[in-house]
Amino acid sequence: MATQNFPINVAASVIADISAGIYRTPAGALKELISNAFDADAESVRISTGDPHFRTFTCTDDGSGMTPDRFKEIMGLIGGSSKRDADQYSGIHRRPLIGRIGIGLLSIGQICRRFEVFSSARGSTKKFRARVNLEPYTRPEARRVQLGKQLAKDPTVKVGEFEIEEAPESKGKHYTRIVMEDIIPGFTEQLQSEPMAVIGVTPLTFKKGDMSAFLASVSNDQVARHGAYAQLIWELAITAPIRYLSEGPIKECAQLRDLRQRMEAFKFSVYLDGVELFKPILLPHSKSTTHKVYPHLDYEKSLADGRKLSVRGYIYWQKTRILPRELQGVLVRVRNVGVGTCDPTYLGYPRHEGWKFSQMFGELYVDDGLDEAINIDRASFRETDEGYLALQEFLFQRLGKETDEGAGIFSSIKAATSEIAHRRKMKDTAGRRERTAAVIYGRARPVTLTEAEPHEAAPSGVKVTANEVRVDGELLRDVPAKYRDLYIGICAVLDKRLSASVSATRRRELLSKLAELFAAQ
Amino acid sequence: MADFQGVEKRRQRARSTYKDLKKHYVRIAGWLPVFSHYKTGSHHVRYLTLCAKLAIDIRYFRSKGLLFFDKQQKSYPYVTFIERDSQDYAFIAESLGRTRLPLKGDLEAILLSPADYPKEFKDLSSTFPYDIINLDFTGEVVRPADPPYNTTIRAIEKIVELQREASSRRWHMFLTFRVRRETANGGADDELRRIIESNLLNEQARAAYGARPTPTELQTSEYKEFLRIGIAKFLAGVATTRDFTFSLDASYYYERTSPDGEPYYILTLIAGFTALRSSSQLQDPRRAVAAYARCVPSIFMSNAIDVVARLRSAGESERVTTDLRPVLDEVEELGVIQ
Repeated sequence: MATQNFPINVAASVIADISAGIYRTPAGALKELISNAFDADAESVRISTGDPHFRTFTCTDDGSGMTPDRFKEIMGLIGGSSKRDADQYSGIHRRPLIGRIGIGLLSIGQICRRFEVFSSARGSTKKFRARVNLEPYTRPEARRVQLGKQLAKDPTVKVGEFEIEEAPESKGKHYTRIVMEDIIPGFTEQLQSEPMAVIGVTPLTFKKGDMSAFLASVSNDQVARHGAYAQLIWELAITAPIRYLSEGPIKECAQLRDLRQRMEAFKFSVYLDGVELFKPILLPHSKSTTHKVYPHLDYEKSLADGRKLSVRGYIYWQKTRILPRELQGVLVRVRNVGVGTCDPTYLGYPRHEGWKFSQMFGELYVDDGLDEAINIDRASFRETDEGYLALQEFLFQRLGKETDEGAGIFSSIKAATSEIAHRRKMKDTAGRRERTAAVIYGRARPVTLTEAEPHEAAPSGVKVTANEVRVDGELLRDVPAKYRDLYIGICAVLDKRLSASVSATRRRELLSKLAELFAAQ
Repeated sequence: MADFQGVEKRRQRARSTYKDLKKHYVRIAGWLPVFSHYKTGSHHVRYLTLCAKLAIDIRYFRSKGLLFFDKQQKSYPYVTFIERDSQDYAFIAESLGRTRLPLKGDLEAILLSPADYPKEFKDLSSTFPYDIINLDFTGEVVRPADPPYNTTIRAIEKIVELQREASSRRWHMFLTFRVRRETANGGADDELRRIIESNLLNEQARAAYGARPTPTELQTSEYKEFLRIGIAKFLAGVATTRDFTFSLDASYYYERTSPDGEPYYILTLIAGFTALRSSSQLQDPRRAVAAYARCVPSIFMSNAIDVVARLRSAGESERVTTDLRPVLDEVEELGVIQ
C-alpha cells in the first residue's frame, strides 16, 4: 500500500502565543534582549524602564547591529535561523553564543505590541528604522492563517507587519536600539506592584542605587517583598552574563577566581535606568558567619546522542540562613546565562534535607550539552532531556554521595554542623563549669561567704542569694578555717542542685555529714 | 508620521549646536541666576524641561549644585523631561537614569488632547507645580502653516493653567524659539501686531515703547524685536487671565545659520510668574487688570541682550568655554550611542 505524506502546518497565532506569554516575568522578556546584545558583541546595554510609570521602555546596545536585510530576514522567518549556524562563538569577543532558535526579538511582544528598532551594522554608513506591529498576530483570524503565508495575495488577512526606512549614519557607529511604547497594561501594572497593592501590601523601600547598596537593602528577607521593580533588578542581575560584585561571589575564595575572570573577560555591562548591574552574590553575609565552600563541582560527560555535558560549578554553605531568600538554591547557567532563578530544590533532590537547603547556594555553569533541554521561556528545563538528567545525576551524586573532598556535600555539611554543635556543647559545658567554679570560688562576682545566725539561715542551713552565700554557724562550727570557704561553696552548689529532689531537712543532714568529713581532715 | 530622513536631518541640526557657546552664555547669564533664586536651603528646584538629546541643561545645573541629584539612588527626583523623538528619548532616559517623570511624546499633543493621551496627561499634570519650566523649542512658536492660535500657543496657556491649578505661588518659564522673518506666520504676526498697537493707545505704554519704529515697521525691519515684544505681551495676557502677574526678567538673542546657509535668530525669554492671590482669596479682576497694566510698560522698556556682542568682550568667550567644559566631558564620556 502506497504511503502518503501530509504537511504539518502551524497557525500564525502561534507567534502571538509565543510572544505574548512565554516569559513568566518582565525580566524574562528583557533578558532576551540582553542575550541578543551579548551575542552581538556589545560591550554595554542600557535599558530604561520609564520608572515610575513604566510607559516607555528602551534598550540600546553597542553591538554589531543589523543591516535592513538581516532584520528583514529575522522578522520574515522568526525562529527560522540560528545564530549558531556559522559559529558557536561571537565574531569579536569570542563569546559563546546564547541565542539558538532566533526568537529573541519576539520577546518584545510580551512588553508591547508595537515597537521601533533602530540599528546600524558595524562598518555600514547607513542606519534603519523599523516600525513593527505585532497587533494583527493577536487577532482571531491569525488562528486561521498558516505561518509563512502572510505574504500571500489574500489582502484581507494580515498577521503582522513592519516598515523599514533608511538614513545615513557615521561609519564608526554600530548599535541596535529598541523603543517600546504602548506597554501592555499588565506589564506596567506588575512593575508598579499593583498585585501587592490589591491585597493591601505596600512594597518595602529599597535603594535603587548601586548594586552593593541594593543588595544590602533587600538582604533582610526577600527581594519580592520590595516589589516588582526590585525583582526586575534582581532577576536581570542574577541571570545576565555580567561581572560579579567586587569580592563576589564568595569572599576570599581563591578557588572561584576563574569564574570571576570568565565574567570579566566578556567585557559586558548592563545598565538599568542608569545603574550598572552586577551579579548580586556576595557571601558570606558577615565575616563571622561560619561557612564552607565546595569549589569544584566540575564534570564532563559524553552523552549518548553525541553531546558532551560540560559543567563548572560550586556550592556554598553557611551556618545561618542565606538572605535574600531568592539566593537560596542552585542557579544553572547555560552558556553563562541563568536559566530561571535559583532552584531551592536542587533540581529536585529526592531526599529531605530540611533547613540545609536554606543555607546553601550554588552556581553551575554548563557550557555544553544542555541547550536542547532549555524550554522556550529560557526559565526552565525539559526534565526528560538526556543532558538535564546527566546534570541532575551529577548534582545528586555530589550532594548525597561522594565528592572529590570525600563525603557528599550534605554529609560534609552534617559533619560540619555536628562539629559546630559539639564545639558549642563543649563551650557551653566549659562555660557552665566556669560559672559553677566562679560561684564556688567567688570569681564571677563578689560573693560573700558568711556565717549566719540560726534564725537567718534557711531550713537546709544554706541561703544563696545573688551575691551572698550564708551558711548556718552551727554547720560551720567544726570545719577547719582553711576549708571554710570551700565548704561554704560546696554547700551552695549542693543545696541548689538538690533542692528540687531532696527535702531541706535531709539536705541539712547531708551538709552536716560533710562538715564532719572536713572536720576530720 | 515624519519620514526617517527628515527626522535624522533635524536631529543632526540639533546635535550640531550642543557645543554652542552662545547658547551656554544664555544658560550662565539668564538661566543660572533663576535656578540660584529657587535653590534655597532644603528646597530643591522642581524642573520641567524639553531638554533635547544630550540634556545639557540638566547636567549643567546638577554640576552647579542647583538641581538635586540623588547620588545614592542615582536619580533626579525633581526633574521631568519630555521628548518626542524615539531615539533621543532613549538616549536621555538611558543616560540620565531615573527621573521624576520621563515622558515620551509630544508635549503639545499630551497637554491639548488628554482624551488621546489619558495616561500621559494624568502622569504629567500630577507632577505640577514646577519652579522652572524650560520650553526650549527647536523651531518657531507659530510655524508658517499653523493657524495663529496654534498648538504651541495653546500648550503654553495650558501650562500656565496647570501651574495655577497646582497653586504655584511663583515660578519661571524659559521660552526659547527660532525667529526667521522668511518663515513667519503672517496671521499670527498680525494678531501680535494688533495687540501691541492696542497697548500703544495707553499713554504710559506708549512712553515706554519709546522711539522704536511703529509695530508694522518693526515687524518688517526688526522682526526679532517685534516677536520678542509680541510673545512677551502674549505671555503677560495669559498670565493675567490665570491669576498671575508677569515679568519679563530678561531676553537674549543670537544668530545662527541653518545647514542650508540661511541665517535665523534664536530668542530666549525669561519670564517670571507670581500668583496674584492665594487659593483662599477671592478673585479681584481689578487687581489683575492693574497688574497687567503695570507689566506692559516694563516689557516695552526692556531690551534684548545681544549674546554675540557679549561674547566678544574680553575673556567672556574663554569663561563660557571653561564653564561648559565639564558637562561636555561628561557627555563624551558616556560612551553610549549618540
